[in-house]
Amino acid sequence: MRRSVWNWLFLLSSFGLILMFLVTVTQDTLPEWIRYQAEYHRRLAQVTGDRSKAFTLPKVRQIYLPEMKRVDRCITCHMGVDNPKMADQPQPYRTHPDLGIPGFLVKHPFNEIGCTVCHHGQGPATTVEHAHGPVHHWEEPLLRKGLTVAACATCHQNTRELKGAERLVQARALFVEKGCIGCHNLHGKGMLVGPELAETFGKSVGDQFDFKYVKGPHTLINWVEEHFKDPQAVVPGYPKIGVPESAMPNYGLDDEEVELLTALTLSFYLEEESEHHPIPARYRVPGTPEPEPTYTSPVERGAAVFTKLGCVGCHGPQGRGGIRNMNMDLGEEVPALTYVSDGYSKEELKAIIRDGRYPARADRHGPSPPLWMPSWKEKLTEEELDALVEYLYSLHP
Amino acid sequence: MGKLSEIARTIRMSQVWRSIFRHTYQDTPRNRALMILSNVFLHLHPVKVRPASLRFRYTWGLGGLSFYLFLLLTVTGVFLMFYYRPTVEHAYWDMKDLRFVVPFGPLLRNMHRWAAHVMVLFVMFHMASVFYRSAYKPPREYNWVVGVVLLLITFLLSFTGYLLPWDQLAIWAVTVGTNMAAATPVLGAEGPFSLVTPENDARFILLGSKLVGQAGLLRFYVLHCVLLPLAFVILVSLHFWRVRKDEFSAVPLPPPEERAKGVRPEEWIKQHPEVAQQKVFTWPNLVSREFVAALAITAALTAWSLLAHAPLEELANPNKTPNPSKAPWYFVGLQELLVYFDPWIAGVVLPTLILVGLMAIPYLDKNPLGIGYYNFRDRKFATGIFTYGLVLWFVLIFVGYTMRGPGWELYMPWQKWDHFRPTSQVGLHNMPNALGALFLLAYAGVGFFLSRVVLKEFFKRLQLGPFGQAVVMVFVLAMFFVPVKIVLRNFFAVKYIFSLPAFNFNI
Repeated sequence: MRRSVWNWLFLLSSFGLILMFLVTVTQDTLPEWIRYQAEYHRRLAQVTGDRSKAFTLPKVRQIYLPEMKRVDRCITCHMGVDNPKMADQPQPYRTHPDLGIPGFLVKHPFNEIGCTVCHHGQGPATTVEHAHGPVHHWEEPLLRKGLTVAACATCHQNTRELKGAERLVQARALFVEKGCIGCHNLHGKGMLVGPELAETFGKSVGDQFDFKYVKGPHTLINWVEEHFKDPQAVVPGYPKIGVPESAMPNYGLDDEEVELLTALTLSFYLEEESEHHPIPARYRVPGTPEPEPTYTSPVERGAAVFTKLGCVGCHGPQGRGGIRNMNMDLGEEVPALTYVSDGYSKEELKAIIRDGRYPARADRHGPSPPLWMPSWKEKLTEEELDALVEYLYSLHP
Repeated sequence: MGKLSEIARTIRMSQVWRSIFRHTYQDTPRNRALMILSNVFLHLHPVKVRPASLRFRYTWGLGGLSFYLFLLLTVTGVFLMFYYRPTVEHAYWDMKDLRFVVPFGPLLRNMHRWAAHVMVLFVMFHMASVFYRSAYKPPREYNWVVGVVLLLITFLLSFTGYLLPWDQLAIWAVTVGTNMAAATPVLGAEGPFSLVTPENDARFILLGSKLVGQAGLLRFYVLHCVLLPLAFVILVSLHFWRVRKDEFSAVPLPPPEERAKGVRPEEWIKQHPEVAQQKVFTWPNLVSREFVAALAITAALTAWSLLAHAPLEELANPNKTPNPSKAPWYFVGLQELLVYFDPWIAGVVLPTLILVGLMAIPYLDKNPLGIGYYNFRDRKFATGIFTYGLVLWFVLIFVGYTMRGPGWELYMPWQKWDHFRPTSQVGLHNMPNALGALFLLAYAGVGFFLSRVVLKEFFKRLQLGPFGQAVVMVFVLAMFFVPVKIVLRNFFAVKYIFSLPAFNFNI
């Protein structure tokens, strides 16, 4: 290289370095959060009338919770969470609401449970983008308002009767109504036709979920919600090579129902102990077992068994059918049960329920139907089976 | 003004000043020599150098820049050590703190990461440039060997550092790398003819465990921050000392019109011995160039660090294996070979052969031509074989790094990964062992037939002797065995040529 080239290189590199050094110093001394703190102090001075409050030195604020392996720097910007005077201010300056439950904030002190235990998001981050997400490689972005209720289950095992967690109660009713347990496994209960529900939100975004057909952002929550709305659109399978579409029936859920079920599924995962984000035992609130219902007739008992086992998930409400099962004979639908008393004796019915049955394919070369009748003999007592068959016979109009 | 220069003069004449700086800064030949001689750091340079070694297109600044990057990495690394705790509990969160709350933390970490990548690249390129200008030939053979060891240490430094952020990228890349150690013949639990258990094999020595965990993190940390840098400093001092003693290899080139006529520098120097003696002062001619090159690379790395953050994936989770899990990029070429060979070949035998082969080059290459300038014409065999190896190495890295998706399936760089695509690795079969043994013998036989009969005259000119000739053929045959196996597997669906499953011995 000619001498002049070295000279130019020297000049450019030196100025470049000086410039970049200034840029770094600026980035470092004027981080994003500093203007939120300045604005907070300005508003605080306005609200309290104490002008001196407007001049406070900026600093990173954090709640450090070593027991839970968390450090939450959310309060670096959300400075007013514990200041009741800021109740009428806009976010991020506003006071944390008490959800209309007296004593809520007293029972959930910020300096002991932090922020991300309930709201998720990236606690250590100090920029809005990274703290709220979604960003790559942080799999717990900030939960939106409608889903935050799921986080109650992190500590509360008594969500059935918990004040403020009514949406989880609602969701659980929907869960029973749709018969999810008929296919899915949950904490060792239920069936193995579908995946274990408590694990859904513990899977990794990149590898265990196919986002090819997902329209929105590539987050777990969004995958689950789009799948609830239209399972076959998100998982169309590869019928050509024998991989069927999603087995999950399309129940035509509306947005509200989707949000409820997503929150519930998330709560199943959060109930589990996590190695990465442990919850101290003293934070846990034990639940009470569900009361055993009483029945007046075998048919009523059978109906309860029908609901308990989640038969409704595939055979429809009152066994009226109408649930799609790809490439199954009988018109690609799970059989309705309304007229079983015409075709089967009680013993034959019991045998099918006990041993299960695998549906025949409509197209011999197509994929195997994703839904099948599992064997229920482990899940049922003989007495329950009798009641269930009684109920099935009673369905005949 | 007069007052100020009076004060400056007093300071310069004081005993304190003169005890530190033993000569003035006046630009005299004596001072130019003293600048180098009286400075412990600068005197790793010779006082005078041949002008030919100053040409940028001779060295491309690669050796000096590699060392400068090592210094930069040491400085940023020491600062990082103030904020980093090598425990499973804290390591990842310390990365987050560096990113979000440590003053200049992102700059430190990004610089360290990007400089490490560039250093690995530059050290490899430095080796290539040294090869192409025959700078390893006598009297510099041993320094080439030291250089190969330094290359290995550079890889190990980068590899041990890869684990420290303790994210998914880190533990799985290191899992891939250290699992190869378990495939070592005899000394690895999963290798052929294994004599050890997973509790006392080569991998266990690396990780202090069968899996990447706390013990492995601590070992890698100590290796990364203490042992390997120490070894590097000792060997690089030796490396520089030898360069200083043997002089820079560059020789003066004949003027362009002479070169066009085909005059070799060797002949031209014999006719013009006075030119070979011409030298210029290292200060400022060489030192200033080194300084500017270092400044430029610092500026480039700073810009890179401002624009791109060093990767940090999810917290390490031994229960969640990403698919695919890839080794650090410079080892992905070897990982790519895992498709074609068992780990004991791809991860142990081939790397060993590469290192030993590189070290053997100066002792096998008896061609005296080309020292100190780029000469491809008179050393076609040497440059051909070396270039083939280099291209193979980087092609394998490219394929492994950009073209392998879930299940290590082949994807074009513009294709989207599909975790649910069925595998293409079906219908593979092994050659019957008798046929396979015959095939291997035939492959070796053809090689030796070539060298003894067909290329007899050619090999004679290499002046190797029968032993040297055999060694060269072993390395050449090993190098060409890689594409042979690639073709056999991809076009003839052959998994193993020769297989003894009872001993984990498969070729």
